[in-house]
Amino acid sequence: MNDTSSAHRQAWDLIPWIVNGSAPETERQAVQAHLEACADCRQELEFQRQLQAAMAVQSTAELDMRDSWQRLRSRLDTAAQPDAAVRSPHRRARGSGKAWTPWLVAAMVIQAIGLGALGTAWWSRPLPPAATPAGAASPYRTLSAPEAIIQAASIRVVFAPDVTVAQVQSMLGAARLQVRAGPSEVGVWTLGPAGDSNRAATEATLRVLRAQPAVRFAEAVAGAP
Amino acid sequence: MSLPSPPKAPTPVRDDRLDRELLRLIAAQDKHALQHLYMEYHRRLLQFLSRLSSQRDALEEAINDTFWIVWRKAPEFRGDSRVSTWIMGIAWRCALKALRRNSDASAAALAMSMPTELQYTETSATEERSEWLAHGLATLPFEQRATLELAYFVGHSCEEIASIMDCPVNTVKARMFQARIKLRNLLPKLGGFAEAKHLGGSQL
Repeated sequence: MNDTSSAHRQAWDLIPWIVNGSAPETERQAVQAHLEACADCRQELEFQRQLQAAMAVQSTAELDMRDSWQRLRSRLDTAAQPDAAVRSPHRRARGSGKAWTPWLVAAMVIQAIGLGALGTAWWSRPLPPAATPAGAASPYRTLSAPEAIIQAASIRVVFAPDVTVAQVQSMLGAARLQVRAGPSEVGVWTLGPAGDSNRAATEATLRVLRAQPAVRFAEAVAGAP
Repeated sequence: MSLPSPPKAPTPVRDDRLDRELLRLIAAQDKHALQHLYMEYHRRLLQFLSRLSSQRDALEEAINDTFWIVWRKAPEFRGDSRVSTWIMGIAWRCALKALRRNSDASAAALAMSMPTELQYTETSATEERSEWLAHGLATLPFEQRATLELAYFVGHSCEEIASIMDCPVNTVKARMFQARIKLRNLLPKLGGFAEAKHLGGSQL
């Protein structure tokens, strides 16, 4: 196989991974160089793009997600050990290891006044018992559910002073959060989930936010247990 | 001339940090975290698995088996891959088991759900294209079908698909190659899908 045919085969093999965006930049550049001179590969690239677009149409298969979850939940509960003491670790972790500056505490008090009611409603949802009867687990809430409005505010964040808008957008997009209010006079933003969420997901989001250098502070709204 | 920005896969790439946090909570027996992960992955798994079987009960069984294993194996996740890759790998193995358990019935059900001959009906171009795509995919061995689905619907890389399907990278490449050749030969004839056209002057 000569160099030209070898390059052609290599580029042809890489086309699907160019189309789905997973090919590294070096391979992308190599394919780009080859495409300049190869009409066959340009045509194949177009074909694969159309194939991907056609596959984007979701299958017509439907399952009731909540019914399916309840059946799994029942299966888990049935198999669970009778250990009611098993609790979520986030209860123990709350508030530990954080140095709280006075101005931040003041900011939290101010925010708590405005958000207390929402926060209390949001966090007052009980955790499901460790071992509930089959089918008795609490329903999963969606944005279309009546109680969804209580998700309107769930996290307060203070960003570093030099954070850029692009950084904030990137962080919020990755964490699937939306700005509900802010910034306050002391720079506190109030964020809420962009989609379905629950306490565990909020705790996970908080940990991710706290790991960001551009986040000075991230905590759930006041009223959390 | 330059390649346009890579198109986004229909299923957006998830933030692995969030998934890892959820998995950490699941490892600590947090059912709320499992419920959230279940809801987040249900549509993606249903899409993936429904290309392999059309049996409703088998689909739910495979999805719930997947999360049953996620619940039990979460403490063993070592972080060698993205969580989504790990979960899709479990789903793939669950699907294989389900297919082996019920291979005849599943294959028959799948075949019955696909169009078998050219039919002229009052359908939109998109619907017609989807039908012929389904027909084309149905002619592929399920490993090739799954490879295409993981690459084009979920957006996994070649290496990730090898991890999910527990096979060498070269096997993934070979499956993708065979699937492309077969679909190229089949789809334009069947549905006018991606009519061969000269793209010399088109924007790339």
